[in-house]
Amino acid sequence: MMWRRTLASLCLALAAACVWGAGSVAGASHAPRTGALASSAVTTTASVEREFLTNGVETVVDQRSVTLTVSQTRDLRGRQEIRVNWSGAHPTGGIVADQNSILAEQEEYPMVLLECRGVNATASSPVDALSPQTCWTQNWSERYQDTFQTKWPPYEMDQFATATDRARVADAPSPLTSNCAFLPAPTQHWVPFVAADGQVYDGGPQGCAGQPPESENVGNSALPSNETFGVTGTDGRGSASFDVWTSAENASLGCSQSVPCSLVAVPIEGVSCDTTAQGLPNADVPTGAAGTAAVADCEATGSFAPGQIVNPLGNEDLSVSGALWWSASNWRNRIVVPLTFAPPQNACSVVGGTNTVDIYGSELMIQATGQWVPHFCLNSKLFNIVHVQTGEPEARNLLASSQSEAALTSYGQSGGYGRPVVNAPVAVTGFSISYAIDGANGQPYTNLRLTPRLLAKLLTESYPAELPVQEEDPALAHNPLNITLDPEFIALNPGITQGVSATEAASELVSLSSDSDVMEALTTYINDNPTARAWLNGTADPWGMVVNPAYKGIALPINQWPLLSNFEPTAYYQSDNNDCLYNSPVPYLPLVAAPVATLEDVSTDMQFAIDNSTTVCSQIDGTSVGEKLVAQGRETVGHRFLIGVTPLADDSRYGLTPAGLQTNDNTFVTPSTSSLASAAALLTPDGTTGTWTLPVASIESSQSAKDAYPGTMVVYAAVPTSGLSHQDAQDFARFIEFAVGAGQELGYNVGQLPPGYLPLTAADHLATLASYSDLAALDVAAQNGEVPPVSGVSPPPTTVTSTTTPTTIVAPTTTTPQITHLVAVGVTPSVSTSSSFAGVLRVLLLVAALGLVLVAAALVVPRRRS
Amino acid sequence: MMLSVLRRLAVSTTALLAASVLASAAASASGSTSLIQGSGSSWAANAVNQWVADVAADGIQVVYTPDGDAQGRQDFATKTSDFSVTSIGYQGVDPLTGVSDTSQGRPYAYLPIAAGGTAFPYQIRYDGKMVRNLRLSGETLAKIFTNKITNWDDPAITKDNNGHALPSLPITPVVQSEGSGATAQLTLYFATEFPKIWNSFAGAPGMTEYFPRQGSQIAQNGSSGAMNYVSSSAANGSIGYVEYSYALSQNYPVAQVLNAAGYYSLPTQYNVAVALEQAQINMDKSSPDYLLQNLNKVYVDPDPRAYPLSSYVYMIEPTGVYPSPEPNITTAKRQALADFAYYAICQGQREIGPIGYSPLPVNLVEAGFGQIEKLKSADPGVDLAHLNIQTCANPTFVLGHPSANYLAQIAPLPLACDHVGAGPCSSTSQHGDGSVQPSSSGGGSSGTGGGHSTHGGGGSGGGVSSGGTTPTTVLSLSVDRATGQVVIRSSAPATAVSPVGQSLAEGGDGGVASGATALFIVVLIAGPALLWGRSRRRRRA
Repeated sequence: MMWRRTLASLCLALAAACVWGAGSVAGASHAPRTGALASSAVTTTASVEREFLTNGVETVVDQRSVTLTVSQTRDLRGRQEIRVNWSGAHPTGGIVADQNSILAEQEEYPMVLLECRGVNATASSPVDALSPQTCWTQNWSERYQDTFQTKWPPYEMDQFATATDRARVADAPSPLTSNCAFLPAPTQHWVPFVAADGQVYDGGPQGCAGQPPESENVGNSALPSNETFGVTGTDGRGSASFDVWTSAENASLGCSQSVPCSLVAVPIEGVSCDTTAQGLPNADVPTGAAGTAAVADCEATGSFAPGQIVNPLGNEDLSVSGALWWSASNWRNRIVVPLTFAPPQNACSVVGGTNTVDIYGSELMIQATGQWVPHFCLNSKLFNIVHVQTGEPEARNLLASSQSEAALTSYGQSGGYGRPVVNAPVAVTGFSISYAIDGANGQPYTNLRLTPRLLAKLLTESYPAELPVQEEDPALAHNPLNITLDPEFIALNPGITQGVSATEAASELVSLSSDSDVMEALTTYINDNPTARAWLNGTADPWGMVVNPAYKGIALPINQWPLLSNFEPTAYYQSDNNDCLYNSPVPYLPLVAAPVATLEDVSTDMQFAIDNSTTVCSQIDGTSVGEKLVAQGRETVGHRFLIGVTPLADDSRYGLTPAGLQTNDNTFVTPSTSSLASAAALLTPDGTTGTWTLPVASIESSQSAKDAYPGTMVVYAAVPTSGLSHQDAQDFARFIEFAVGAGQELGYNVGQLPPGYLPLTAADHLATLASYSDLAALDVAAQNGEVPPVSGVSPPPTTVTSTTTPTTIVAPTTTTPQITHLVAVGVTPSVSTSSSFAGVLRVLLLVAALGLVLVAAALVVPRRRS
Repeated sequence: MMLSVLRRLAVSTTALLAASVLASAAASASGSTSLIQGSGSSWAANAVNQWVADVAADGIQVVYTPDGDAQGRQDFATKTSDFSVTSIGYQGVDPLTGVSDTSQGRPYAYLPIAAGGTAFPYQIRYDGKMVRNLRLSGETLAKIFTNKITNWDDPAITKDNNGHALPSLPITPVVQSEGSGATAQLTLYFATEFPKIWNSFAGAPGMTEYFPRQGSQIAQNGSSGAMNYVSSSAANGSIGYVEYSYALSQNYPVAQVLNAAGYYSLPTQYNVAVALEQAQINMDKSSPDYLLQNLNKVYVDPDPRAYPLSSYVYMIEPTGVYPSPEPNITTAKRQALADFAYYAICQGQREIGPIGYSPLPVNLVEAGFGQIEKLKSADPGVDLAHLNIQTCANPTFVLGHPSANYLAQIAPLPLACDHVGAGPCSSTSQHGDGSVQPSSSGGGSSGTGGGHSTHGGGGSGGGVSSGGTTPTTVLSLSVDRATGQVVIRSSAPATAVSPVGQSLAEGGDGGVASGATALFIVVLIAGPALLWGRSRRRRRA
């Protein structure tokens, strides 16, 4: 019977190839049929003002038109990062390092971004009515003010505040809880927080009157709070990444599919003063010298120049600081952008079930499996599947040593698995080189371009990073201190400050310490570029920069990047200026590189611009006991510089910006639907490993392939076709069929494919791979020891190498910042998606396909009956 | 205040039911959860992070920061975290350094969440080759980490390797710089087994979390820092200590450590499970150290498979009531803690074996259920009804024998070349468990239901015999049906048998397969027809 099975798969495979060919020819002159995920970006413009009221006369002292854009407002997922850009706002002064820290409220004229429950102020219930009381802040100090020094602090002088809000003690809880009995300040202003369940947390000094349970420990944790005191540049423009929370992250705020919330932007204009205090009772009207001082305080316009870094702390003018975001004067200028949320990902139960299968491997798949896994647990007729996230080489080793039953991997196993294993394509995605860089104007840089040689320079510890290294290590003496001083980088990326403050981060690529196929793909991209390869072999670049001799001639590609620099700047260590390095002298540049264990860690570092170079000595109590080298930490907004390797799907989830990577002819390609599709069209079957490979060298050297994204990677489910139990074999077969079928539909819902992946469809040249996976699933289910040949389903070789064969390569997209328009098309590879182009060739191919199918059916059907 | 708590629960439960139209009955039956944050052990971080990823699909948000055991316990004490992960309990003060270490009055309980082995990754390169089959005794390790043995050509190391001498190469011990559970486990082993060597080096008896770095020793922060350094090119001659998973993720060699039976063993999930059958657990429920471990017998376990530096790691959970002394631990957070802990000790145990940890045995899982119940004792609003030990998918369970560990039963026996005076085995044994197939009777495990029969590590547990020389003397395993305990017999030749539950079905289900085939055929037949129709319409137009 085996010959019948083999022949059947061959026929089906050939049919698929024919269909592929037909689709390719037919679709030549047409863009893919789209059902793209619609953008839900919102742009709003508002007029904002500050005006002073003196003896009944209003004087407008500042007026601006602020335009705010939010990158995504619908179907938001918990901890999703959305980008907020604005223009026309008052420039910020007294800037602090961390826009999310409790110090940031002291900035002057920040753009305050808040997640608030409610979408308008007129909702029937106070719980749902948008107000400062439904806006989340992490710390009590952001919603409480008091003073001994004056009876008329600026918030008492606010002409738009109600009489109640201007009372000497405003909005205090009554009675005061005993915890707050110490409160001596005669002038107080409280802004309680109303939780989603109606509970009121009054806050107060040190939170004495109660705070939401989420507030206290957020400040010291790995998860920064999301209220943002955004920095507006001197040109009025600014931007920030905003971390959206659902009720799963913050139950007191309580945003969900059923509880509407908003992103509220409060452009701080300063308090609109009622200088003669006409709104106050006579007894409260400021008089005398104190009154004059109070008016001056209220009318203050800032003690820092726009763009100035805060120094010293606590010197800001309160009336224009972010701390008074809740004052009526500022609040009335708010811009409200309603947000809606995707279904919660709480479909599964921690209890799980007895029927569970594990698949180990690829971190490129985390976002996809996050939406696929619930599809299985929700259906009682299916099973549970767990994606155990490991590096792909470790997953392959586990499979090869029979310690696991399936792997998600992007390459074959060298030396094989010792048993028949199919590599069923389940996704096309890849890596990006993402970055968080502020340009010379203090605004995020959005058009970074990198060459393979620049990546090689970052990886090989060839920038000295610190002056002591440059001065002491003769091998690096003539290299630029960091990449921002490298003429090659400067020429490609104008507008970035040369000699940034984050010099260590500008000398390295945040990458992986563990074995990973991503490193294999990245080092392939470097190795296949003749210029980068020559530089690695010792040829200086045109400006004289040379490779760190520790890496000279390094053999690539490799799946784990080694740390090879041995140089210790002894004078630096001898000085005892870093006690950790004084006691434990180790080579410096590996500490700068500081690779992390998982791609998820890289994504977190990139999301929050955390400089991972571990060169700061942290002591517990001033002694060497327990002292340790820790990371540099979060970079200062406006001065950020960080480049890392991240999964494409993480870029979409966390709002990371991918760089354009150089291909042939000085083209720079960013990841996009079209650039991934162009790469997909180039995939070449490799009969030895049973996978498809991306001809990276051709992308880097051929005119026809230069628009393909060189970081494109296929992810396969590697599953044995012999030796699995019947139940597990069926489960893995169903997983493959789902992944390559319904799982390829784009969307944010359970079972759909999130952005960052190119659907395996005919339009994207991937019907071949999808058909192969369907065949592979049959062999997995049958456990027949068969592995379908990849050569049998290969596209005609001419489409790979020829420059004349028409394919739907789309124009280069070097300016596309990220994947936002991946296409949703039919879930099954089907010729019905091809367009209505008639031709003799197509008809012939289809007739041949039909014939082959009939033969296959004749062979298969009787077997199924038996 | 109780009223508000109840109101909170009612409102949030309603919200959840309204929101979770997609949720299954199982999920919606549980209370709503809120994001929890924990910190501590980097030794356990690879397991904890995997669970964090898994429970996201269950709607549970967890943020875990592996900043070291000591820092994690301090974070818990200062209430900046909701839970902590640590391999030792609160010490009062660190015995060696005097660093303060209490919960500062915050009520807590210890919940065992995983087992693992403290492994010794090393880098020895010479003549362009990398040594991958190093063997070391505990005493040699103690002397290496106390600067008594300083060169790889030391006779003691040559003896450990059955006369195979390494070249002259200075040894660089790599210690962890922060207050670390790995350091605690290492120094506890040294202080217990080799007190003279250790105490004279440390200057005082006993273990410490803060390694007293001296001489040429290099301190690096955390498991990642130590692993990064050992594998860097500057570090030829170095040896560190990390949880085994860190070495596995870089496919990096670790030393085989001599056990009391005279075999040099690796910290595989099996060998760790075997050794920890000898752990003495504090079962005094009134003790503040309830469930903490005494490993003295683990170090000297006479089982030929045992890995001596095996240990458990614990979650510290808050047991005080809301709002005082726990102003932040709401019902929703405590529900998340309960659900997360349940996942960790049940389903979560299945997947961690292959990546370098070892699952908990059933007696500790049962005790762990008792600790999870303390969350409900502190807050009746916590719903534990769905967290049932009957549905606990822990792979070590042997039905009817709660103290037995299935993994320990199927643990492969060492190769003869792993014995003192033999070998050493070739390096290929490093990642294939280096073992022969046990002659398992299967009796103890054939009737155990869904827990481990076909899926995950248990099903493939026999491992493969990869590399190594053919054993000359053979040990075999069987399981005593009455006690569930493993019995080792010697000298009988081993016969490889298929691992339990791996019987192969011929032909397959057909349902999936034929369905797909049918779909494919329909598409291929319908496609041309559609196209034909479209092109005809077009021609008319």
